[in-house]
Amino acid sequence: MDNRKIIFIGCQKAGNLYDLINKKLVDENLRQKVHLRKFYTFGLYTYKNIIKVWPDNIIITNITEDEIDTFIEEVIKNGKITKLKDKIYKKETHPLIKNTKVEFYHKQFRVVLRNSGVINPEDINEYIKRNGYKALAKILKEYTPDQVIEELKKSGLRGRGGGGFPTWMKWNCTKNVESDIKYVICNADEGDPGAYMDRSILEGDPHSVLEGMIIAGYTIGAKQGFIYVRAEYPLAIERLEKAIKQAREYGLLGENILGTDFSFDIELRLGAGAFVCGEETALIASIEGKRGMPRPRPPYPSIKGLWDKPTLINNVETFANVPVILYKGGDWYSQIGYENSKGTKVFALTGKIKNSGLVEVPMGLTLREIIFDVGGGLTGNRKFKAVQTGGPSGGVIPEEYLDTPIAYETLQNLGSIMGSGGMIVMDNEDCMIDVAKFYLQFAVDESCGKCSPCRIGGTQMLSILNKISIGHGEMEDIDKLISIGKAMQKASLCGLGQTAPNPVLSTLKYFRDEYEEHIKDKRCRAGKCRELVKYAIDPTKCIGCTLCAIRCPVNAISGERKKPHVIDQSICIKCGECYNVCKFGAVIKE
Amino acid sequence: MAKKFKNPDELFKFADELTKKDSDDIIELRIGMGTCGIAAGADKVYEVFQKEVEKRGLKNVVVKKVGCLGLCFSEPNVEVVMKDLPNVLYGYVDEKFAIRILEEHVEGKKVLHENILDKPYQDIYEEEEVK
Ligand SMILES: Cc1cc2nc3c(=O)[nH]c(=O)nc-3n(C[C@H](O)[C@H](O)[C@H](O)COP(=O)(O)O)c2cc1C
Ligand code: SF4
Ligand code: SF4
Repeated sequence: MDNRKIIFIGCQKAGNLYDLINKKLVDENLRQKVHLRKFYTFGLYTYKNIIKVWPDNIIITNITEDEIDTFIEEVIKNGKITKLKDKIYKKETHPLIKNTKVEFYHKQFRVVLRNSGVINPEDINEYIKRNGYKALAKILKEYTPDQVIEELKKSGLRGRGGGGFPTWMKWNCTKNVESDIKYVICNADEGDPGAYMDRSILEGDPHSVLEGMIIAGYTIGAKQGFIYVRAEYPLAIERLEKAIKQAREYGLLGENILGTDFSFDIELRLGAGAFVCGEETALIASIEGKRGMPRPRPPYPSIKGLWDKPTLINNVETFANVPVILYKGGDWYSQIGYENSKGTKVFALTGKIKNSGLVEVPMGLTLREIIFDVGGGLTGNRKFKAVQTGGPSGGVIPEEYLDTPIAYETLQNLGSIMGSGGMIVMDNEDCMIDVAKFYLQFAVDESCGKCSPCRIGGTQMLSILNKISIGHGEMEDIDKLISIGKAMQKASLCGLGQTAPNPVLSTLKYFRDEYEEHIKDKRCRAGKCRELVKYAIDPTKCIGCTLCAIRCPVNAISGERKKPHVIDQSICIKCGECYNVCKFGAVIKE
Repeated sequence: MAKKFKNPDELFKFADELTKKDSDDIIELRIGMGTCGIAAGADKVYEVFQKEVEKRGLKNVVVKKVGCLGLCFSEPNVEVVMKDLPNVLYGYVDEKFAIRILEEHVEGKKVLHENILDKPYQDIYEEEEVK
C-alpha cells in the first residue's frame, strides 16, 4: 500500500501556495515522498491558506510564504510540528455551538441536513444505521408525552415555517385539548420564490420528517398525520412514498408501533402550488377539499383545525429537528444558536453569490459570514448591495447591517424576517424598485382575494411601483406606498397580506434615494427599469464592427462598416442586446 | 425482507447489527441526487457508475444515491469513501470524469488531481455514536 502523505492545498485563496510548495519539494528532492492535491475551499476569508494533511488529519491555516520551509521541515520531513503548532486548526467549542467539538472552520453545522448527502434516502436501513428511529423507540419505551414536551422546551426549538412560534407551546396546547381525534400536519407547501430547503430535506432524508411527525402524534395523542406537499415536487413525493411504505413494513407506522399500543399513520396530500395554501388555515381548507382560503384565527388549528379537530401543524424543517433533539437531548440542542433563536437554520443562498446552494448554519452567524465565508462572496467580486431574506414576506438588508447575527428577532428589527430561508444576494445591477415590484407582483398574483386590504391594497401599491419604474412617479407616491403598506399590515386577514408590503417598505427604508432618483431624475442607476434606460453608442470607442447592428432585433442601429454606429432611439426597444454583445464597451447604458 | 419490530429494543438491536455488518472493504460512491443534482446530470453519472462497476466486476463498490450536499454550483457531486484513502468529494463530475474516478481513485487507489472540493461541514454524529 502506498503510504505517502496526501497534502491538500486550498486553492480558493491560496494564490500560488501550491506552486511554491511544489517547487520547494522538487528542489529538495522530496516531491516523490508525498502526494500534492489542490482543493477548492469555500470562501473562508478568515483563513487565508488552508492545508489539510492526510492521514494525520490535521488542518493548518494561514500559512505564509515564509513558513513554507518550516512546513516542509515539520510536516513532511520529520512529522513533528512545533513552530507551526499555533496554526493547526483546533477543534474547539464555538460560542454558537458549545456542545460539540465538530470542526467549525467552514461555519456550517448540519443538524437538519445531518443525513442528506450521506445516506441513501430510499433505504430505511441507512437511516436506522445513523440513529434513525432511535428517538422514537426511546420515547415509546421511556417517555410520557409531557417529558417529550419538556425536552422540546429545553431545546428552544421554534417553528421554521416563518413565524418562529415556540414548537413546544404548540405541541403542548394541542396535547391539552380534549378530543378523541386529533391530527398532525406537515407543511411542505414551500411556495416562496427561491426557496428549496424543504424540498431538499424531503429528498435527502424523508425519514427524519416522518420520525418527527410520529413523535408528534404520540405526544399530542393523534392517530393520523398528513404531509401537504406541492405536486411540483415529484422526487420528494416519490421518496416520501417509499419511506412511508418502508416504515409501515417495519412497524414504525400503522397499528401498534414498535409493538406498543400507540398507532399512527401518515398520508400525503398534494397541493396545487398556490402560495396562500402554505398558510395554515388555507392549507387545512385545501386538505378538506375546499378552496384554499385563509380564515380568521383564533380559533387556532391547535384548538379547531382539520375537520374541526385539534391539529398540530409544523413545517418540514421543524419536524426534521425533532428526532435529533430527542435523541441527543434538549440541552444538547439549546447549546447551538443565539439568544432566543436556538439551533440551526437552513438557507437557500441564491442570486449574485459564488457558491450558490443550501447551507445550514447555527443561528447567530452574521449575514456577512453567511454571504462571504460560506457563500464565497459575490460572483465576479462585484459590490454587495443588499440581501433579501424571507421572500415575498421579507425585506432587503443593506450593507451596513451585514454584521447582524441571524435570529428571528434581529431580522425582524431590520424590517425583514427569517422566513423559511430564502436568501438572495444582490449587487449594483439590481434595482430596488424592481426587486420590490417582483415580490409585490408575486403577492398580488397569489392573493386569494378574500379580504380587501390585501386584494385592493396590493394592486394599488403595485400600480404605484409600476408608475415609478416607468418614470411617471411623483413624490407623493412614496407617502402613499407607506400608508397603504401600513394599512395592509394591520388590516389583512392572513400573513400573506400582512407581510406583502414588507419588500416595498424595507426597500423604501434603506434605499429611499433610489426611489427619489426614479421619481425626480427619471433615472435608474442599476439600469434595470427599461423605460428609464437609454442605450447609446460612444463614437470614440465604437470601431464599427457591425456586431450590434446585426444582433439588434428591431434594426435600430445603423452605420457604415468601420465607422461609429448610432442607435435610433425611436425604434430601440431597450432589449440590451447591443450592450451585451459589444466587445469594445462602446455601447453605454445611461 | 419485511420485518416488523415487536418492541423498541428490537430496533436498537437491529441498528447495532446493521452497524456491525459493515465491512471495512466496502467502497461507497455517494452521488448527490436531489432535484438539483439530477438537473445537472447526476442521473447519467449514476448510470455510468452502475454500468461500469458491474462491467468491471467490482463487487465491493456500492453506488449510492444520496440527497443534496448543498453545493449546487458544483453539481454533480460525488463523494468517494474507502479504506486507506481520505474521503474525497469531487465536483463537476461528468460521465468521463466518473470513469476516471473509478479507474484512478477506486481501482488505482490514487486521489485525482482535479475538482476536489472541501466538504463544507462535519458530521454531527462523527464524534461519538456512528463509528
Ligand atoms: C402566505 C403564507 C404562506 C406560508 N407558506 C408556508 C410554507 O410554504 N411552509 C410552511 O411551513 N409554512 C408556511 N407558512 C406558515 C404557516 O402558516 C405556519 O405558520 C407554519 O406551517 C407553522 O409551522 P412551524 O411552527 O413549524 O413554523 C405560510 C404562511 C403564510 C401566511
Ligand atoms: S390577506 Fe390576501 S391572501 Fe390573505 S386572506 Fe386576505 S386576500 Fe387572501
Ligand atoms: S437595446 Fe436592443 S433594440 Fe435597442 S439598439 Fe440595442 S439591440 Fe437594438
